[in-house]
Amino acid sequence: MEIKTEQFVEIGKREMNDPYAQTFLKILPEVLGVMREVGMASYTDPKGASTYGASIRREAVARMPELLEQLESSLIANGTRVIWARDAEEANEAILKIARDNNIKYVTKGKSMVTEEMNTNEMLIKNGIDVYESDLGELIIQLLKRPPFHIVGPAINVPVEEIRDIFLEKGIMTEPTLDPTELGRAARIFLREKFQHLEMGITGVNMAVANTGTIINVENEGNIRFTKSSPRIQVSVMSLEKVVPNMKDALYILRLLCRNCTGQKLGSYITFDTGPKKEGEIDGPEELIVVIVDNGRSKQLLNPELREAFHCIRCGACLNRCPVYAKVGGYAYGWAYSGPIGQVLNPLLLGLDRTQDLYRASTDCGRCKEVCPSGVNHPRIFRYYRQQDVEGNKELRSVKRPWSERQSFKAWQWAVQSRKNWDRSIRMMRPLLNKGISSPGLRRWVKPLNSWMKSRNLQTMPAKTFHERWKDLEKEQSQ
Amino acid sequence: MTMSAREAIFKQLNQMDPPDLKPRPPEIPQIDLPDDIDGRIETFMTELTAKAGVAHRVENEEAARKLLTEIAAAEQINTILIAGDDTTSSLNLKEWGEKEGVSVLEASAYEDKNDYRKDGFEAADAGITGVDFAFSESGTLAIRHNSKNARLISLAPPIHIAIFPAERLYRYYEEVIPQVYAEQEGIPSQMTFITGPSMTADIAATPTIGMHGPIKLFAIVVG
Amino acid sequence: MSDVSLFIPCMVDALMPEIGESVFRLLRRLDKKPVYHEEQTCCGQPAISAGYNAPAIEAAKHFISIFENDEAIVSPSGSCVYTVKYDYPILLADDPVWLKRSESLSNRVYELSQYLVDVLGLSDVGSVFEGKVAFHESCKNLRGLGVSDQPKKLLQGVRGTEVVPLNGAEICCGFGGAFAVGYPEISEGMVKDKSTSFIESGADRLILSEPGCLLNVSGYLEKHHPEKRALHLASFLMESQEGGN
Repeated sequence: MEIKTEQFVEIGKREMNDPYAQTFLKILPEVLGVMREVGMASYTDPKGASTYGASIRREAVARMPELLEQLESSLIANGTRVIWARDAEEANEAILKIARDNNIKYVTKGKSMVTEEMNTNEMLIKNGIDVYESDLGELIIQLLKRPPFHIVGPAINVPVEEIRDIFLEKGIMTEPTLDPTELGRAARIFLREKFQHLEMGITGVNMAVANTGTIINVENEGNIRFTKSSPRIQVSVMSLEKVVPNMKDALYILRLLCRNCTGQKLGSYITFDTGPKKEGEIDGPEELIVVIVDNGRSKQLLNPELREAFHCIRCGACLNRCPVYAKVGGYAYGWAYSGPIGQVLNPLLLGLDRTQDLYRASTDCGRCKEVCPSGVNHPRIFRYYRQQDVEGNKELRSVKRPWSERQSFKAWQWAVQSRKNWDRSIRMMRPLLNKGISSPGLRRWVKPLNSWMKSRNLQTMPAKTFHERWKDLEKEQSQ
Repeated sequence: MTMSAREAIFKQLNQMDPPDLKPRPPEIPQIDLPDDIDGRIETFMTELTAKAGVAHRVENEEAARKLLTEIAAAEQINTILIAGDDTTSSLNLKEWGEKEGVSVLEASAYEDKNDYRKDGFEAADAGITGVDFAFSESGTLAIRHNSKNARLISLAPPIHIAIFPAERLYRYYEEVIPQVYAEQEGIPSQMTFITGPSMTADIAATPTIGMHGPIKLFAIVVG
Repeated sequence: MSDVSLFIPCMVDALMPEIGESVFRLLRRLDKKPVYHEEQTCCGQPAISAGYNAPAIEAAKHFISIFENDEAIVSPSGSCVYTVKYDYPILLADDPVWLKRSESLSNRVYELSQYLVDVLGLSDVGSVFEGKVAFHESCKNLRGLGVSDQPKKLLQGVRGTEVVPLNGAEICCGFGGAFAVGYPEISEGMVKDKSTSFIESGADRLILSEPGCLLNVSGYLEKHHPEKRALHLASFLMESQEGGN
């Protein structure tokens, strides 16, 4: 996936002018939000459920080194092969080697955000191995070469006409149709053949249980079940933070994940894999390989301010609540993760230098944090990133703020500590501001004023501040 | 000598401050669900139906076989792929198939995996399995896959029929699942939770029942 | 009569002083004797929001020194109150002396409706308005301070007034301080939605308890729907006082 995080404003504007995208954005997040509420209402105490979920994730992340070690031992003990990868290059190399060693011609893929970070598909294809994304939404965006629009429904905004066209073009079907069910059936038939003869499947991981070495995946379509159970080789790729302590915690998180994601009590299928197939079993992988990927995480985990970012269970609830996402849609965030969690993760993994707009395009309204079942405080993290740009942070690749802004806050700092200085500043600004308000020509030179007044009026600054009126008010008081 | 990826990752991770773990907040109580057998079955059936599954309750194995006959006729099932677990074995599906003119393929009879896959994907109209547990809290079936209940039986054929005695129906996952995972020995290579047929809403947010997995799911509770 | 100390946000002081005047006069009507510390400038919120913690710390210390002896500090801005209550302790976390001073101040700072309802125990402040009003739930009030019942109670207490529902009342209006000028297209989209909800609600007035939100929404309305009025809670309660303003 091409990184387009620097094009947030441009892509956002384009999407805001796309009537089809806007129709979708007006309806979908709200509907998903309502479904989530219905799902959460099945708890005796929905808020308590999220609080407890957050405590599980907090513990899992705080204990990460210990839990990952335990996970590794458990995986090895049950016959799973464990491969560690520092970055995309190492992970991709390992996956390619497995495919080559086993003469693999093609793989099917279950949805995996970390492999989208790593451009694993492109790497395999470049090396002559076909890749079939098998989740319907992922298949569509793979064919259309687009990033995901929404973490749960990556192609949910794509008009059926475009799906019909690309399906016909790529040979997924031969008869045209605009009916979503028919299109789904066409994808079923096409991929079914691939599943039947599959030799190697690649999946992501929703959770990895440390004390048993169990890999858990959640889905509705059944493509992950096929990808795991039909071939002789299963490769499951996880980022570090997917580890949870035990099955009881995993079951708890599963309930939260499904309700927050789609409002379901559970997705149609949940698979719990503990090692490759056993003796005498006719299906299931002979080899189960788990690739544990860092890709920039361990470095940032050392920073206690950022630890919360790793609590995320990828439910997508925050996307559905965000008023900014509701305007610009998923593409604007430019990478694997979109919406508020994208604004948390993309800067952390790509660097502040590539993601400047992501953590500034927020009013910090707090609707995301309010709904998060894992205890992520997105607005606090956005502020932290902005602070790092001001103070300088090499680890995060911060960017110095514009000179004019730095000077403004220097002046502000001088003025704020003394009312006399503050008043002097106001007296100086008043005529300039009022001139700008009344003169569109002059305004063009003052970007903030110009931006504001493009869509809003601004009253001229009153002749007297409250401070200046106080003496008269005090007189009123003694009457 | 260059560090391995594992060494490099742990070298970094081990610099994390030791966890400052506050005790967890109290667990919230489970949803209140009927505990009596009739209540459990009713809840289970309501939940599964809401997830587009078809749930039936029958008195005994004879009634179960009768129901299978009806389902086979209604769904035009000519060939079934069956598991060899205790439930399916005790139902004697081979005999039933002979009587009803339904061709019965036993998963345990295959030597070659590709033959098995071919029949599972291409020949079988339905897969019939037992389940290890069922849960009324969400209308969920849980299967511990092994040589007696292979994975593709409940996945590849377009219809999955699951049959189980009412005693296996619990309310909450926590009643049995942690125990399955308590001893290394008892842990299956794969356990699957099934809650309804396969589905998607990936195209224009339009819900469609039946995607890659079975298009229909029948759950027959016996007892 | 106990003293109540006015915390007038910088935006109100310079751009909308009439809101401050309304707060003053309203408290007088309720037999309070408001004081105004003339040394106050700005609580520091813009600096904190932009990541400039060092200047913000100076603002915080200035604020604390001015207000720390007051029994009750009241502001017509929930976001400013939030800054003092919740952001100051984080800003001053490394300075135990200032942290203590900041924390002792925390539970004496109130947003206006919080003060009137929770402290003074009022719901009817003597206002009369025949008509329908809708209320916008500012983010920092609702989700930051947990203030939502209080302003609505005051509106319901206005005789003759019907409080009508506002679609998406708790969705952000698109101000967000620097956001409105940094991401003007997105901000405009959000304020347009707020304006549409207001118009669709059938309300005669849109009431807001946050100056920034007010500047944003009323600015948009003036340009696009000048016949629709949005005003601050304090202004509304004051101008509808029985016996006139």
